[in-house]
Order: sequence, then structure tokens, then C-alpha cells
Amino acid sequence: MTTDAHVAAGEHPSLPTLGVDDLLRALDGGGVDRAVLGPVGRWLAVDNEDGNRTLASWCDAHPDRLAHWATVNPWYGDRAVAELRRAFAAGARGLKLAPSVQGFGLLSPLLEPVLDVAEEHGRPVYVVTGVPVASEPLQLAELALRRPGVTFVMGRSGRTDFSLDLMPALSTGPNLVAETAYNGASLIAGMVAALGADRVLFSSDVPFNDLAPELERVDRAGLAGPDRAAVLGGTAATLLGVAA
Amino acid sequence: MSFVDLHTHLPSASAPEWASWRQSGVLAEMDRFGIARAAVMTLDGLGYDAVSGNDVVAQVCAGSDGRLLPFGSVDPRRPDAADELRRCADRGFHAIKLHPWMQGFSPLETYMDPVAEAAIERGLPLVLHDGTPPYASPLQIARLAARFPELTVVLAHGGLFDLWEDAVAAALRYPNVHITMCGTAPRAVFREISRRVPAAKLTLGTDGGFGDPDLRRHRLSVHRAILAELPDDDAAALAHRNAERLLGLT
Repeated sequence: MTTDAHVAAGEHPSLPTLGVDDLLRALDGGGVDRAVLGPVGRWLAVDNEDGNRTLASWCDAHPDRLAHWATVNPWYGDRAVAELRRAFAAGARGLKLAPSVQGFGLLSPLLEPVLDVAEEHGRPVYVVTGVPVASEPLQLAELALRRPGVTFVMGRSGRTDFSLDLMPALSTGPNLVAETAYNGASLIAGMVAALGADRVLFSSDVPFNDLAPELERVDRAGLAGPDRAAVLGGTAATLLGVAA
Repeated sequence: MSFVDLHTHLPSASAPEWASWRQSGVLAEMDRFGIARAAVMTLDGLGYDAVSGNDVVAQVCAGSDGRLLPFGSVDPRRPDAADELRRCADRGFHAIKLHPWMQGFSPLETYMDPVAEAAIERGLPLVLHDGTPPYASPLQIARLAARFPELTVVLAHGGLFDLWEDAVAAALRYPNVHITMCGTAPRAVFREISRRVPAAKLTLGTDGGFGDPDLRRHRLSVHRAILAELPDDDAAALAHRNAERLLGLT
């Protein structure tokens, strides 16, 4: 069983995306059993509820294949808090944030109310990292220190150019989880060795990125059987409640 | 399809990969991947001393029958930067690689003028790392190209994840700005670049030698997928013809 912990879904102004049927075909083609969809574009920036509801409907139609991250733009304040509660109640597995798209710095007090909701519900928070000023790996590490009760996923691994920051940031605390997308086999092996396989999630970022080469990089990492199984599904099962 | 890999690095002298670096091994790897020729850039020369970095590049490329293409570097802040560029030209280097944040300079500062003038005089393209602020944004680099219309400027990464639309804008606005598709950005980004920018301005690179040992194979697999979507002529232009033209190879 292979679970892809971040697959991009939505309408993007610059890059093509896929509807649910084409996404499922892409997953079939890559041999991925389950995927966790993450909103992008308009759904991520402004029309959060629209995106969250649409993704939930895709997941409801394919409960054995799909789960999803919800997003709320923290600038919506009380409305963001209410929408996140609604989305979690409707089945969203975690909160996705993208500081450079949503317009905030990771250490802004603006985040606190939505992080409170994630913590209350015991749901992880996926953060797109790598854009200077707004979402650097060490900013997420500092946030993880401030919020030890929330688990954060280091989305996009600080690409690019924070490759030197990545491991010091991920090693900051046990509530930081790595993802494999955009990382080479040697770094995937290094992350598993340093953090443990239960803190490394396989993700592809399809359809922006390619599924087969990203799976091949995990294969080339030469992980021991149980570690490989964790990265490709077990960790997602534990963290996101997606069946392994 | 035969490739010219316009972006590879020598390992740092402090890295274990340098101890095992052999020209024969590199050429054999290129054969395996169908790479006819590859640019060779320094890493240490960007971080420490460009002149000694250039000496190492010249040494490792010698005797490769033209398959390893030496790219030099200069420290633009140094008053003798233009002289070092001419020394690179005299010894047969094909281009000059600059890395604004590693070398601690901005492409907008006036010390770039003599470097650009020497590059024009000797016909060497300037290849600049791009895509990571604050001093390596495509539009900053493009202004250097705008000030020196006879200069050939190559954005070495096409803006990466977050500034690829800036790189596209730079390549469309300035005739002398070119893009090497090379970097961690996903295929969707490179596909958009290849759709929006005229094929004559695009080249391919792998960043082989930097970071993950598997990087070159991985990037080539992505490049091949992009080339497969292009008309044959455009694919050949991206894979090798444009690089050959930019570097004056025959």
C-alpha cells in the first residue's frame, strides 16, 4: 500500500491541474493506492471553503482512495477558525498553510487561532516552506518549538535554496515531519536515519511534479523493509489517519 | 537524443566525492546518460577563490577531447575580475559562471561593468545562478543584460520554484537573456517555461555533482519527458543545438 501525502488539487493561475478522475488515473498509473489532496491556487489563497468542500466531495466519492488537507487563510480570523472546525468535522485530515500565497509570516500571531483548532483536534499542519522571508525551514522549526502540541510537516523541504537549513530545522523537535518530494535518494535515506521513518512522509506533489521519479527516489534510498513501508504509508496512516 | 549538459559542478575539495573524482569516470557516466558534452563549473571557486577554482577546472577538463567544457568564474568585487575573465578566455573556457549569493554580490552594482565589458570583448556568456533572492532574482540579472545588449546572459535555473514567471518575463523582454532549465522546480514549471519562451532561448542542465549523487539521472528523466512533448526540431534545440550555438561549439 502506497500513500501519497501531498497531491496538488485546485485551479492554479499558472500551472495546469487535474480534476478528480484524471488525478485518480495518474495515481493508478503510478501505483499509488491512496492520496491526500492539498488545495492550491484560488482555493488556497482566498476561496478556502469552496476548495475544502470540493475536496471533501471528491474524498466522499472515493473514500478508499482519497483524503484531503483543508486550508484556511488565517487573515479571515474568526471565519477561518469556523471554517477549519467545519472542515475537520467533515473529514479533513489536517491543515495546509502556504505563507507566501496566503500572505503572512510563519511567526505571526495571526496563526495562533487556527493552530489552536489544529491542536484541539489533534491534526497535523502541512506548511509549504522555501520561500524566503515568509516560510523558511528555521521559521517552521521555531514555530514547532512554540507549539509543541502541534505536528508540522515541512512541505517542499525548503526548496530552493534552503537545503543547508533543512536537517537542522527538522532536527529541532519531535513534532517536525519531513516529506520526500523534491529530495534525492541520499537525502531521503539521511532523513530516515536522522529522524526515524515515522517522521518521513512520501509525497509527490503531483500533478506539478512527477510520481514515478519521486517513487523511484524512495526506492533508491535503499531503506530497510519496515522503514520503507513507513515512509510509503505507515507514517501517513499514523499521522493522517489514512489506512495503510 | 544527444545532450549538452549546461550545468554541472566539480565536488568541493573537502567532499569525499572529490577524492574519487576521475575524468574517466565522469566521461563514462556521460556515455551512460547520452550526454555528449557537459559544462564543468567550480563550487569551491564560488565560495573561496575564483582564480584557483579556475585552475582546477582547466586541469580536470584537459584531455577530455572537448567533452568537458570548462566554465570559469570571477569574483566581481575584485578589481582584477575582468583580467581573470580574459585569462579564462585565453585558456579556452566557454563561459563564466557567477553566483550572486555565494559570491556576495549584486548583478546591479557598478563593478559588474568591467566584467560585462570583458565578457562581450571575448564573446563569453555570463551564466548566473538565479531564482533565490535577494541578489539572484531573474529581473535583477536581466537588468544587467539590458544595460549590455551585446552581452549573452544565461539564467542558470529559470527562476526555480518561486520566480520562474520572472525568468520567463526576462527571457521574453530581453533578447540577450537565455534560460537553462535546471533545478528542483517540478516538470510542470519547466513545461510552462518551454511553452512560453522561444525554443531558441532554452538549454538543459542537471546540476550534476551538486548534492545528491542520483541527481543527474533524475533530472535527465524529467528533461526527457519534456522533450518528448516538443516537436523534434525544438527538442534538438533544447537538448544540444542551443548550447552549441551559445558556447560557439562546432
